[in-house]
Amino acid sequence: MVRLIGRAYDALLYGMAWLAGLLMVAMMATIFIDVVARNLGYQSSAHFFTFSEYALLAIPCLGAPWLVRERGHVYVEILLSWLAPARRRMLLRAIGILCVAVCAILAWYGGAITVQDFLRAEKDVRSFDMPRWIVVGFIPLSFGMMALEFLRFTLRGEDFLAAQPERESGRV
Amino acid sequence: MEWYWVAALLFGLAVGLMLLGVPVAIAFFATNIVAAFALMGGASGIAQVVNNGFGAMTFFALVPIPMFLLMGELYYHTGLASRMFNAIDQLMGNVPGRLAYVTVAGGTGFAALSGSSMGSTALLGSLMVPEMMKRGYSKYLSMGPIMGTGGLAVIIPPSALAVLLATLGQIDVGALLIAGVVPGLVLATMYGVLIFGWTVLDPKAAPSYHVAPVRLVHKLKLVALDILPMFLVIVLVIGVMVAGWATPTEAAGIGCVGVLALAVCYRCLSWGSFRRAVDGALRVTVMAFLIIFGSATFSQILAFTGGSSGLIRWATDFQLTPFGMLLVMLGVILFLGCFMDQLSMMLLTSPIFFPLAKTLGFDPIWFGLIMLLALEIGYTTPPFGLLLFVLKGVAPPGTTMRDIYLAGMPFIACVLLLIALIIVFPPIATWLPNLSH
Repeated sequence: MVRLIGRAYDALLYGMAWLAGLLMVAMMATIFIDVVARNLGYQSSAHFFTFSEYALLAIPCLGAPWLVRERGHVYVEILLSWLAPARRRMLLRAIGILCVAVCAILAWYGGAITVQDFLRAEKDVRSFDMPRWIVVGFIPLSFGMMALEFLRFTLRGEDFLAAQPERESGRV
Repeated sequence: MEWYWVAALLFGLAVGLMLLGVPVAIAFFATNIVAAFALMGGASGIAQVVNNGFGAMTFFALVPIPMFLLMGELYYHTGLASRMFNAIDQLMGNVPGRLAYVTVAGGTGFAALSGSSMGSTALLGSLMVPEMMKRGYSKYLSMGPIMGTGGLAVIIPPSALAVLLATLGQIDVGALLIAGVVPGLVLATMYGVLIFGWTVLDPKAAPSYHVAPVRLVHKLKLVALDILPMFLVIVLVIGVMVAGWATPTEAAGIGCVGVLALAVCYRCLSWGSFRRAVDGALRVTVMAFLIIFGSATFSQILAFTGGSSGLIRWATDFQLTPFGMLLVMLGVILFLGCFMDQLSMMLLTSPIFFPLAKTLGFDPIWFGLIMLLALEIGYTTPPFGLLLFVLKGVAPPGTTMRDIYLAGMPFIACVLLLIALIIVFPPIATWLPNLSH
């Protein structure tokens, strides 16, 4: 049963990252269609604009738990690299606990805002009236899962900070 | 609470947590939570952090960040970057120090299209350093140009970092992007002159070797097939902005489609390369947006509690000349750059520096560009500039950090010289944006 829940959770985490990637590609496509249509004299849709704005929120929220799993967070390694292994492990554990606490607090308050928006039927007014809880809801989902990911690393005593920077490409 | 306690709490906590090794985004969130709880009415202050983050992230002007990142990753993973690089290599002929020039020319092109300093440095480092070492180049001449051109990516458009800085500083995104063109080219030229002087003074640093001659027809073919189309994508991105066909935000999406179309034309777009490109772009986008999420509250608390205005008043009370203040601001960025990444530096300094620059009567685009250049130096400043570690990761075994520090120095000097030139001749930065308006 536990294994099944674990698999379902992993599928959710990676599925969310896939969806984030898909949204990024969709954003590119909608911008291209919008610009071409407008310059050819056709009426462009304000919904494209709204879609991009919501995608900007959804992409990082859907991808953030996956980034923790992939040890993709940027950090300053001055102190950590100087510490002896035992002390480094201790500090990492303390950092892990802090990360769990911070993400859990934001998930909690994000959740409270989402519920409040739902109960009050708040609308986010852009090119159309979007129920606000649907978009704000990405925030507690994301931070809640980030807290779980940090907790997972911390309980296992694993290093959640990659030996940086080692990626071949791609950083701002 | 007095403004200086607020400033000390915000900056002290954020920097302290970062130095401890807390992930940068989490360090900002933790600072925001503590400050919001203490200064913005307890629990309702924390709820405000979430609401601010929501507002900051659903902001259309941020679209270029994922788009430029995707564009650069597509360019890299589809092999278009290597293609342009090989073409430049063949075109260079038998010039002394040719591989160093190839690095600068190819690196400038790659930097322009990728907008990623780390990606650019990693690619050039793994491609060029082994080749240059094999040909007997000095380790300093092998690694220096790579760090230099890696840093060019942040100023030559399209640059995701420029978009972020413009957003944080609330200045015209398109104007800042366009402002980077001339200084970027000037900097690449300065690197070329530096390499020329280096090889003249120390010919052993770049021993000449025989290169098979390339026929003119073949050279023309290389230019037409492997360089011109890549160049056209850059022209496309800048052109649609300048011509007013698309906003700077939309131009990023157009550039992305441009690279994708090129990859299709060259038949180098595979599912694997596309997936890797999206994966790479997603990692950085998530990181950048988490920091933006935190930035909204960070600057709001600074403003709300009088921290920003207090700091600005305090700084201006020293009665330094505007030039003196500019030097102080540059000094702060260079100092932070020794141990901090660019996003964090921007987030810490923008809420203070841009209003301060406005008070001092600086042109915001001119100031933004100088700040970008300083951030670029921060990338290669010992002991912890991130590019230094990227290069260490791809350099041959036996390369020490000291070698890498020394190799980067002449190129850092070039950027400092460029900053001095822009201060003395502001049109280097402002001429093109003014023209496009």
